[in-house]
Amino acid sequence: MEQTVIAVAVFLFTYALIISERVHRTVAALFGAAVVLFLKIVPWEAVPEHLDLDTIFLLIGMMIIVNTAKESGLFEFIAIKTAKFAKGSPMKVLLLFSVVTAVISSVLDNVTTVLLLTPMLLYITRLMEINPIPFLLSEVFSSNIGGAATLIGDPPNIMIGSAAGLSFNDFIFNMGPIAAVDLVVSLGLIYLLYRNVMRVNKAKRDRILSTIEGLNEEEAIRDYGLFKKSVTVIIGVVLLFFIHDRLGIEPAVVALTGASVLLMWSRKDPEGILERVEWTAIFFFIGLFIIVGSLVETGVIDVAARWILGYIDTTGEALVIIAWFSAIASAIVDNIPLTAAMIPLIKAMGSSMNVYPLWWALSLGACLGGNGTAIGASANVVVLGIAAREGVRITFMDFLRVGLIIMLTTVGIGLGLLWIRYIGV
Amino acid sequence: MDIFSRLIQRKFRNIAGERYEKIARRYREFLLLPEELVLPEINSILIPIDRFSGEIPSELYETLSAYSGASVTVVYVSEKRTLSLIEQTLGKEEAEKLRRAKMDFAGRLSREIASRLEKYGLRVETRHFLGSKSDDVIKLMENENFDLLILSRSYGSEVTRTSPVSPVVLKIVQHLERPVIIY
Repeated sequence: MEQTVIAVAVFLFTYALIISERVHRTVAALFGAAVVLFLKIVPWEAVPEHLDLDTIFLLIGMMIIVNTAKESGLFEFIAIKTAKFAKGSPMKVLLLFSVVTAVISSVLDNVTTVLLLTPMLLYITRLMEINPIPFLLSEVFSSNIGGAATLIGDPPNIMIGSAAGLSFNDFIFNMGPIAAVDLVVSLGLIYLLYRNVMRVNKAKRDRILSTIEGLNEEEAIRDYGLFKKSVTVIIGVVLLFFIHDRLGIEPAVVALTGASVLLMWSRKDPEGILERVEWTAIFFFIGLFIIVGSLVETGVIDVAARWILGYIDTTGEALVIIAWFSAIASAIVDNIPLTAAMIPLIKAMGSSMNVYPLWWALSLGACLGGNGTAIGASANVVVLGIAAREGVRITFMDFLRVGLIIMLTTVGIGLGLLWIRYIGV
Repeated sequence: MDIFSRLIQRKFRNIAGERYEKIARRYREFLLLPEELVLPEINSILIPIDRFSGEIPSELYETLSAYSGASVTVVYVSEKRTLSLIEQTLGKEEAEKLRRAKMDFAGRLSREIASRLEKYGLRVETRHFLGSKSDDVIKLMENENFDLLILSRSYGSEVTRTSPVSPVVLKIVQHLERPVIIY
């Protein structure tokens, strides 16, 4: 009993620290993990059981690929190309950057995507002399929606895929259509909300066009050889993801294979590349897995699952509750700790109901719930942080006003599609 | 609401602060700043020269061809203090001999540069006088409202590996708020 209370207290204290960010979230997670290990709430022998190595190695593999590819100037090249395609039209800039952000976020991590595209977006809006806020918000929403579409797009999906044994194609089949519809709807909403600020006259448009045409995307490429190799490996890795279940290999193995092939082929200094792997994120996951493991070990998860099942009779009810609960919760807590806590809960519910649709409800809520507030997802924080540094102020309330509408609409649509597919009309 | 702003900034710093600095630096290498997008209007250019200046590179002449129609004033400045020192040590006659030699050299060099500039459609005026290489250039820029100053990095003194820009040039650019090209 005493251990149960301590496990719950450590869990709540750590999550409170993560929300407040008073200390670095990785430090908070590692501290919580150290406490439960020190007090033997999680026995040392049980640690490997709770560490989800599929998630950890998949993240490491993809980080190596992204960090190596980034060195070539690939992302700046894509940003300039996208800007040129938009031809100085604000509406096309909004549309193209949103689609490109969603597509890249579906394959690579959201933070890297927005980190590399936001400076270009701010530059273009500065040239257009128009309010950058709708463009930045659209980028954030597109990144979170794009990330929801695939197994590798967002860390919660990686965790769900690994815990439930879901393949890349399962995600494409279930979450892909939802993400596509939600992307169109969110762009439509942004347009409706901000259509008055997205106008530039012909003279200004010509001037913008000539400036953007003057940018040379070739100049952005620092290493042509690496550029070609990176593109080849990324395409190869994505193709392998499509057939990993048929080949009987785990997604983590695909990512690690891609990473090692790129390192071997590019002859890049491995020390430099491995140093840039976001080890803080990896240790954050390790800490969380151990803290959530303490709730499993002490039986808290089982008790919570039984309590929830006492109120829920059907999969349909569970679908709605999990989708909305995880959406609202991940708008407040980071979606990674939320998913880490929800996974064992859904697993425990598996004894009394079909939980297969519930994984999609969790993915939907965790990924798209992040759109609700400025602190709901890492991509939001990064875009708002960059904007602030570049003199564009988007307040928490500014974000909330639009974010809530987007979150409620996209989760509602996604839930509707899941309901039609798994519960029936 | 400040609580949330601070929270967002803390989270941003922890998630991507340093990574963003690197990316922003990288973008600055090939994206123009808004103020760089506005081409300054250049109607008058001042080019001070002396015996240290060396040859004007052909790339600079090509750059100046963009300002076709502008007036260029090529000024050869001889340091007055040097001649005073020579007068005090070697006498008036030697000093006068040196002054004449300097003026001849100044005339030849100025004419040479002027003829090349005229080929690029620029109107050129040449002057040579005794004075201060730094103070007189600063005064000329301010009093005659030149739009652009073009200086050799070795104007005023020879340069070395450890100081690749002459101290005279550094002093001048620190006192001006006009565009300067250093070749």
